[in-house]
Amino acid sequence: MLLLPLYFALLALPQNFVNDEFHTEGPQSSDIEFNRRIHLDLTGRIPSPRQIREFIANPSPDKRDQLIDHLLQSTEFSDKWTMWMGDWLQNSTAGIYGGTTATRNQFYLWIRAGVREGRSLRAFATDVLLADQESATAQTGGFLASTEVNTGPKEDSWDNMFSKSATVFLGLSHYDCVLCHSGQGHLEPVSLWGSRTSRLEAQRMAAFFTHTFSYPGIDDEAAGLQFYATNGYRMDTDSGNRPNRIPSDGGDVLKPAYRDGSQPGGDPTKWRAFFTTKIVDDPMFARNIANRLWKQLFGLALAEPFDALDPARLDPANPPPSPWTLQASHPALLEKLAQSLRDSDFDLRAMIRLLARSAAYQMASPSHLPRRLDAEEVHDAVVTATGVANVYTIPNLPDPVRWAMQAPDASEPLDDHDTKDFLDAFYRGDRVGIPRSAASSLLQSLKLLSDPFVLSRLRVTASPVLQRIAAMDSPDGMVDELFLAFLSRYPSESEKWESLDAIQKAGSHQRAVEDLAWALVNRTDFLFCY
Amino acid sequence: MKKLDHLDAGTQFWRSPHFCGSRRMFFRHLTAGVGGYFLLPQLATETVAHAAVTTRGTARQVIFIMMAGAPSHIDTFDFKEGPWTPRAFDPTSYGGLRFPRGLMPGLAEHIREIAFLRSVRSWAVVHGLANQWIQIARNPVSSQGRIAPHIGSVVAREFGLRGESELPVFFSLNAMAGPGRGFLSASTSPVFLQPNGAALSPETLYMDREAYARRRTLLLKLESGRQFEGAPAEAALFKSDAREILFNDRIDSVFRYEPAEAQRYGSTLFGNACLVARNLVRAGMGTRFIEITHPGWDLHAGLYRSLPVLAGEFDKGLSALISDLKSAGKLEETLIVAMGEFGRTVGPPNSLDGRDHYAQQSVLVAGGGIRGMRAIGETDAKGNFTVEPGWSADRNIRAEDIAATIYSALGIDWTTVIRTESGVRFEYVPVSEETPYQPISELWTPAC
Repeated sequence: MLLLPLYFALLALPQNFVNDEFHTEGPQSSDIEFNRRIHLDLTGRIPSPRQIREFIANPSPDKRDQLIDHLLQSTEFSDKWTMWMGDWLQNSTAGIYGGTTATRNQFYLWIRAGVREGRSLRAFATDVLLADQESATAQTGGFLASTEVNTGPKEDSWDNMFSKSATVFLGLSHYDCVLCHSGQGHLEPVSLWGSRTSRLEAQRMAAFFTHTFSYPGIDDEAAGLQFYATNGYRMDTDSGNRPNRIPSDGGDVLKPAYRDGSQPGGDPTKWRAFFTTKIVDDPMFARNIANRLWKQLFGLALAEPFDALDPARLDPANPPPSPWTLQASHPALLEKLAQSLRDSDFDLRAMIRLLARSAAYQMASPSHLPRRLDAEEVHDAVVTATGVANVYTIPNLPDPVRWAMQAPDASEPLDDHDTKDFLDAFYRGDRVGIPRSAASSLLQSLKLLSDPFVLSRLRVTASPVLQRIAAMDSPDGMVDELFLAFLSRYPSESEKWESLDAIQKAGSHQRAVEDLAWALVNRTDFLFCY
Repeated sequence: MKKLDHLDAGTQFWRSPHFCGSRRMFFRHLTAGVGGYFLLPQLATETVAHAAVTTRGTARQVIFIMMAGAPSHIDTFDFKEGPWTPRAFDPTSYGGLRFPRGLMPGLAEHIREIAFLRSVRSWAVVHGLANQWIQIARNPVSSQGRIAPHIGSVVAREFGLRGESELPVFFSLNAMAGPGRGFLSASTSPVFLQPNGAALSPETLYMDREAYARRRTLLLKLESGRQFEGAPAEAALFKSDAREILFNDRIDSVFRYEPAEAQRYGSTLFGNACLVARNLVRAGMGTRFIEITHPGWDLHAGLYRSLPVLAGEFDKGLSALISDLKSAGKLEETLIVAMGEFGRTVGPPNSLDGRDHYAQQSVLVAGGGIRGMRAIGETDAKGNFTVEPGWSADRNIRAEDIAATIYSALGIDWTTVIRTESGVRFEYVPVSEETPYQPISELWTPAC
């Protein structure tokens, strides 16, 4: 397992630069609020009553830092951030190529192993882009293979491989527009950089993928990539999914060039490796990752839309001409975070640790923006609070899945329709065309009020937690325990009084505990990390 | 619980009903950036402009059928025969209108109620982009695209607060997700639902009506006095709506149906949605915009093998819907629009016996007082492009014009411009000097 990396010590400076740049104001979170928040943000699980009591009772002045470090090393952390990485790297069964469960499972297991061992995010990106080539892994082929289109010229597929890479690794989704038409006359209202970017520049970037072909996954075989010599990225296509390509001064066949103007050598088998090095060294690579991680922990990215970054409006030392403004709300902070990522060789835990330890992150809600729990977190919160787990079988995965956060993508468990429907109501998305969303909905509320997934667990006969609470002598203690188990906090005085009243009127402890548990699941704060 | 007081300090989420400074905090977070404003919840809006237009106002509600994947126009609504046409399609003339009666026999029966728009051209031939485009009536990657609500959410805003109706204004059937309320308030959100004949109330052994009533009372006592802002406020709003829906027999009867009835609609996901759409219209409980997603039309290969099944589902569900609305006297007040995101290539099919993406397309319109058995606009012999626009704007019909038509039919001023609290201007239908979008009023005028 992981030793505490050296840079943890280096980053533990007396003053956290995040605070200087973010200008925190307003009260700091209480211990009980922080405890719930950090458990959910780092592990996707709500804390147990025992964990809450121990944290509150811990007299150590740096107990928050201790807790952060403890959670960073937990299995649950790896589960949650494997899910996050799967979202980011779009590991999905969607797509004609690269869409088999074998392809997805292989990619998922590879991501999970990398997160567990603390792999550099730079190494993740490198292996994804170099799949099936040179010494790199063959387990990540689905990333590029899923962009294959079989209804147009091969240039369409290469355009898609590049467009997906640019969106995921650089936050530059506007390349997808520019691969059809130059930005000028189109992107002026939304992107200064985009408005200056030509279709030819984008196509030269796509040309790095010349000769890269996908083979589909069939049955238990995973999809992958292969080098297959062709007559190049041709500029005279007249069919397919993008407007006709038109020969430029570069002739009928396009040579690749990176957006900084650098060009690879003549050997096309080395082009993808050249591109990969340029991507991870691109200033946008670190900015993009820092911005996405900030969004995950703070609810709103520093630069939005987070997948449509504008490189011409991010450098505080070179502000854009009026009337443009810098894209990030805190431009200097984004630059420092990006640099910090580079300094730690893109260590996921180091960046999360830096953010979570800041006073900015630890502000009280609502200065810290409340976020609705992700679908998997809602599922796992119900399971944690009641102690009633399910075991899901996922085809060809070595381990049984007990927690929704351990699913390999956002479509499982396919063989359990009730659970799948429950999860889908909370907008998991499909990682490709449909983004994950934190919006609330009527259907979500109906599910929590009445879905069998919830109601079947809120029974003393089914739930060991509720059974234990119903057996308690003191109604006072019962109420505290229920609030801690479901809402990660103690009741307020009025809540205590109403709950005791309900216990008294219920006639039996069983009925009272079941009614109260149902009411707590349907409280607004059950659904939020705040 | 005095011993716990120190634990409460600093949390206002569940304890204090009133927040100070949260909005200020939001804007501090956002001051420098242009982007991000679309994430601001619950912004008040004001109407800043509208032109002096007369709306049609003949429809109380709209059923919008999204034929996702894009149907081949020349095999359906702009029928062009060729050596590839299967004999079973049975092309038949209705006046000047050619229609594949064998492929869609149910709709052929209702041809007097149906009009086709044939001079329609999509702006894009990429699924994701074009699919969103027609639902939000503008370019999704334009400056307004990122904040733009679905047409149905604009309709929901117009028909006012949810409190006045028993059911949400906007239902989206058979889609898991899609464009939603944009920057409008949460109450304008679509309710995504896949009808299956079950009521919205739990039909389980775990909670009966009496238990629900008891628990609900307890929940309300515990939740009393709480006020939230932002995302939690939206969740709280949905929670309070949901509590009114459970164990409500009138509402349950809208979503519950017998298998025999579903069979008349085809017993397919699409048919089930059409059946529930009919129930929503008949119940008149405040729902004004129903979207039904019917996927699978992206037939790059094996088109003539798949089309009979797919068009069969479509035909059976939609024709039963038209029949039932007609006999209930509701067809005249229900505008039905069915379209894909674009059309498909014309002439002989491709080497895989399919058709690829193409900008020319056609649209089916019925009900809402329009005049049927006609086509508006005309394409060349193959269906490549428009040769006769067939309407007063004298150009291709665009998705924006169809949105204007929907708004006008519902009596909504399509030229309305609103402004959000953060200063963003939003036009119901984009204002364009090049292409002034307008309703297709020819749908309502007698054929000459």
